[in-house]
Amino acid sequence: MLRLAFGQIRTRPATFAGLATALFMAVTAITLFGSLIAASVVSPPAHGSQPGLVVIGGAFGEIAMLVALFVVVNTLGFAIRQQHRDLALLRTVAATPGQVRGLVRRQVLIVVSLVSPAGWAAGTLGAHRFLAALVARDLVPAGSRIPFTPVPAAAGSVLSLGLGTLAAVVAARPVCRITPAVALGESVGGDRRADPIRTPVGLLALAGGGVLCLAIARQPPDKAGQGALLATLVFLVAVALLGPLFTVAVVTVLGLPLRAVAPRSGRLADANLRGYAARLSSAVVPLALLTSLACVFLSLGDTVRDASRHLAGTELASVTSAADIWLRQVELIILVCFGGVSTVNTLAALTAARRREFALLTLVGATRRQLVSMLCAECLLITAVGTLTGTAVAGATVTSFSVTLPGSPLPSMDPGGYGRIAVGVAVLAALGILLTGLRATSGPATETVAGQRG
Amino acid sequence: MPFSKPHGRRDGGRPEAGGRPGHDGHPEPGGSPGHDGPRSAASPYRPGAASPPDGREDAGPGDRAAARCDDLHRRYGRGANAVHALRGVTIAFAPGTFTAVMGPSGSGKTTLLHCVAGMDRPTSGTVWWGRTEVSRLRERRLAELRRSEVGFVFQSFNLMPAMTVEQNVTLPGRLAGRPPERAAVREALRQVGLAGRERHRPGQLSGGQQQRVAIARALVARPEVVFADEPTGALDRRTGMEILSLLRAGVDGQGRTCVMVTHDPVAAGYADRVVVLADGVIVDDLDRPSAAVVSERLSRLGG
Repeated sequence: MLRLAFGQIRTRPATFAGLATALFMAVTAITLFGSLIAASVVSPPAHGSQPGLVVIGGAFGEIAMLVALFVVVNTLGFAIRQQHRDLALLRTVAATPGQVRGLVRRQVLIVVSLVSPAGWAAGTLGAHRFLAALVARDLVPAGSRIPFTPVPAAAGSVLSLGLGTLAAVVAARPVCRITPAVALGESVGGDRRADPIRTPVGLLALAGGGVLCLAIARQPPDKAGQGALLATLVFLVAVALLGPLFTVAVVTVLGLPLRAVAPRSGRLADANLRGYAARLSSAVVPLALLTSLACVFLSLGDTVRDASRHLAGTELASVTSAADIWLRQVELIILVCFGGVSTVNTLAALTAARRREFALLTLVGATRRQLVSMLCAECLLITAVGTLTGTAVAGATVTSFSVTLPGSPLPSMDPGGYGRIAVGVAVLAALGILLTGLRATSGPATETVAGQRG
Repeated sequence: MPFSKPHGRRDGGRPEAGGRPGHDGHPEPGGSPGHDGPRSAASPYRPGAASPPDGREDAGPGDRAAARCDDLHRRYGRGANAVHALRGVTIAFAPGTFTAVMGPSGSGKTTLLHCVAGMDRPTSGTVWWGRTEVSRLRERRLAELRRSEVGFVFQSFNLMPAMTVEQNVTLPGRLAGRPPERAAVREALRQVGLAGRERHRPGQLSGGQQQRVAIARALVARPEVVFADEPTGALDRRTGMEILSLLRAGVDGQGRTCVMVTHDPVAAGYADRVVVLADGVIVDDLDRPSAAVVSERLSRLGG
């Protein structure tokens, strides 16, 4: 089995690139924050207003792990989708679902082993630089140092492996849930909407996010800020699970008048839109993740600053220190890295999987120019939907945070900052879709159509 | 190479249909000289018996069949978009026989094959291999049983592209934790005429050779039943006939049961029995028909 897992990775390394990057960042982040917590053991105790190494390392590590789990599930899901045919084939030669999951777990093990050394190095380096910056901003006591111990690195690999194992259960479900014949009949990944637990779990996540928002409103501001991030992630899980259903519902409603006016062509357009709905919603999720995390961070800072301007001299002055804003920015950068990997990986995988579709369009007479302009239009649509969804999620969680502040101000956000987020998301989407699209539309179409793989 | 002629059949073992629709008599199962599988010894057929003497298990018509199904329904999708691929199919495949399943596109042939081979789940109805009901088994148990009881050959070969010929043939055994002996693998490859190709990858072989690897993979565990879904559909006629001869040789030489879906009346000529499906039900059950009869029945269905 280990040999089989290794063979799969060796023959299609591109499939695992996204997963490898996500796991590398998970190992790096856990090593980094683990090192900070280890540093607290050998460093002088924090004084007065300093938050202390354990608090900073713990809070950062917690959120980084949650986002890492989200991104590892996402990238592993695509790695499995791209191996769908091989895994379905294994099921037909009588591999049990447990064996297929075991194969996926071994692939995760191999990838974690491969990226770990680099992750340890990057994490340790990052921890030294981060600690120096913390000392310079007087957030931790002077004289703090990182001890020489393998524990944070080991924790980085072990916890990343744990995340991957957890992700394997979720990601292998589409190919394990159905019978071998049905699995083989589906070209890639199959119809995820058909999974009976998808909608209930999605509704549960939506309800959970709502409950979290209500709970946040009763917390002190610093706890509420952390809670808003958690609620954002829970809402995004709901978006990921309910996305196809929601998109199909919108398309169905829009399709009704269309069918009434033009029964035949309206029906065709409706079918196309429905087919597109599942793909659209998979593409939207990472963009919404990126947008909402970035918006939550910026808006938390801006809202607090606004509130403190109105109430000068209250305890909020300490919360809004320049150092605190810097800390939030560091956290934002880490999360944007995860979100960026997820975005580029998802869009590249979705576009690459359409190679066969592009080739077929070429054979029936589409020019490459037409294909590229079609991709541009899709890119714009996906960016718009993703940014709006992410903004809506961020709006909900930041509102529940803002009521915890004295005077319950409305959430605010610097328009320039929001503009930068939108542009950044659009650039990443274009990178993922257009670069892959240019590659996927090149080469002789007849070979692609004739080949077994799309 | 051990290719027998299409009509070079064994003299004994004239099989008859078990449980065909509208046929409520008990079929006489094919006597299979040379077939000494455990089931034929353990379960002597008794006409009219409601249950075997020990009373433990069901003993309906076709109890002695290598594989059978009762009132099989398979529906895909729900509501207005539901597709009824099978609408009540009852059929038994006697040990040591070669059955061809035919019918127009969309008649449910492949679905029937998948359900009886344990690769798909019927919406209702039961599937039996010998005396074991497999349609209710959990996925894991079913996969384990499938390794030893059933072999499957696909139209599109379905070999793992990254694996060598030898690795492909030994894959089901390795999944079972019992890799076949090297000698057994070599013998299986020799039987299909691919001796010495162990280290090749599927991409380096022709379509006919790839299909022979798939047959070796299906046969190496010595399963009771081999299912083949249009095994010659992607091959030229000559190569296709070689593949059919291999399947026929397995039935004649080792007393294996073979069930094959095909569109080709000539391919069906290698079978002892031809079952015709249309719209998810059996509409014809022919005993050693000529290719002309098969063509005529199919064209009447518009297939």
